[in-house]
Amino acid sequence: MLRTLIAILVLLSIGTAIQADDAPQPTSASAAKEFAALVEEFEQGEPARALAGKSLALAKKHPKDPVAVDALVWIAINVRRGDELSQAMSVLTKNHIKNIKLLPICQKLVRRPALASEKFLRQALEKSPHKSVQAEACFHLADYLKRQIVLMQSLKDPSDRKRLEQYYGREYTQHVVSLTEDEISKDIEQLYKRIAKSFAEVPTRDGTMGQKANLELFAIHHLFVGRIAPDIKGEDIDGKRLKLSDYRGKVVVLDFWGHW
Amino acid sequence: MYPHERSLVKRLANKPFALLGVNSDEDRQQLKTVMEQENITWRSWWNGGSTDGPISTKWQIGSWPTILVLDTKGIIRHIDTGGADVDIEVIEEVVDSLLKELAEKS
Repeated sequence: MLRTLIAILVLLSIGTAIQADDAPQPTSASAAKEFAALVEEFEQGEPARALAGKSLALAKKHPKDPVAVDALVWIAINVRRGDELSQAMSVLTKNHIKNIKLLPICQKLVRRPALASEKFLRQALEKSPHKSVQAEACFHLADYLKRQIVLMQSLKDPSDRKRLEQYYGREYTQHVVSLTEDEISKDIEQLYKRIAKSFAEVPTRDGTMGQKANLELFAIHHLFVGRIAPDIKGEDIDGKRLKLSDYRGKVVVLDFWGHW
Repeated sequence: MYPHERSLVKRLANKPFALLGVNSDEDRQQLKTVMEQENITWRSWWNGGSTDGPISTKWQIGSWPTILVLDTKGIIRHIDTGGADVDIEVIEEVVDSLLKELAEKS
């Protein structure tokens, strides 16, 4: 009996999700007007943080209107942190994860460390029907996790930790210190491998997703302290052949430089 | 950077040590003049005239300079991606300790 009930509830919630995204009701003129006014205020110089509450309220007032997604996406793109951002992320994750409009958020969340950001990226990767969104979510989740490792290292310093706790909130910093660098690194590698396997053809501004993921995998496998440096074969400034592996037996300082 | 590098090259002239560069300037002729003026005697690969050249792209270099120290087996022992903030003293320490390791072994 309980199981049937749960099944019905699950069906119902799927039903509303489909309704919210696949068969949106026409935008109500007043909601659209309210949102346009908010964007206008922002463009006139009102800080995003000050408008976040208004945007969230708008989305809550018209939950089934397409403007709700616009208002929530606007928060995710323009507001750096805070409770409104977390709330916007959870509503997007829960009700609109299949929406194509989520595409530009993925990259932004790399710099919005919060439990809600990570959850969103993971759900978008698994549940979005759009390959472009899945690929973006996958790539930027890996990037997000790379930054999490840096944060984890900073949290080891007690004085930094206090400051970071204040900035990111205790819940998030405690989550980060409960992880191990090894686990996260493996996770990152798996995400890039998944891109190379499943989303390789998805185009980006600089090359395909597959090319970008393979560069990252190359770095993971070779460009770390303790790894053998990849060989460099090419020509020097005068056009003479120059090969890094010819310098085995010597200690080498390798300087990537430019005169500027 | 150049004075530090010049003194490093001079100090370790008789040791199993080499300084090598990967240069991302745009103009090769102009670079040759600069290298003469600045007395840059060590060799550099030509990165194709761009910071997006083939070597720096493959090595995922995002800040200039980025400096690595490799031991005699070619293993990366130190990476400094600090750009203008590279810590040359730490780099020298790593080099010196690797050379000391080597001297003790032989």
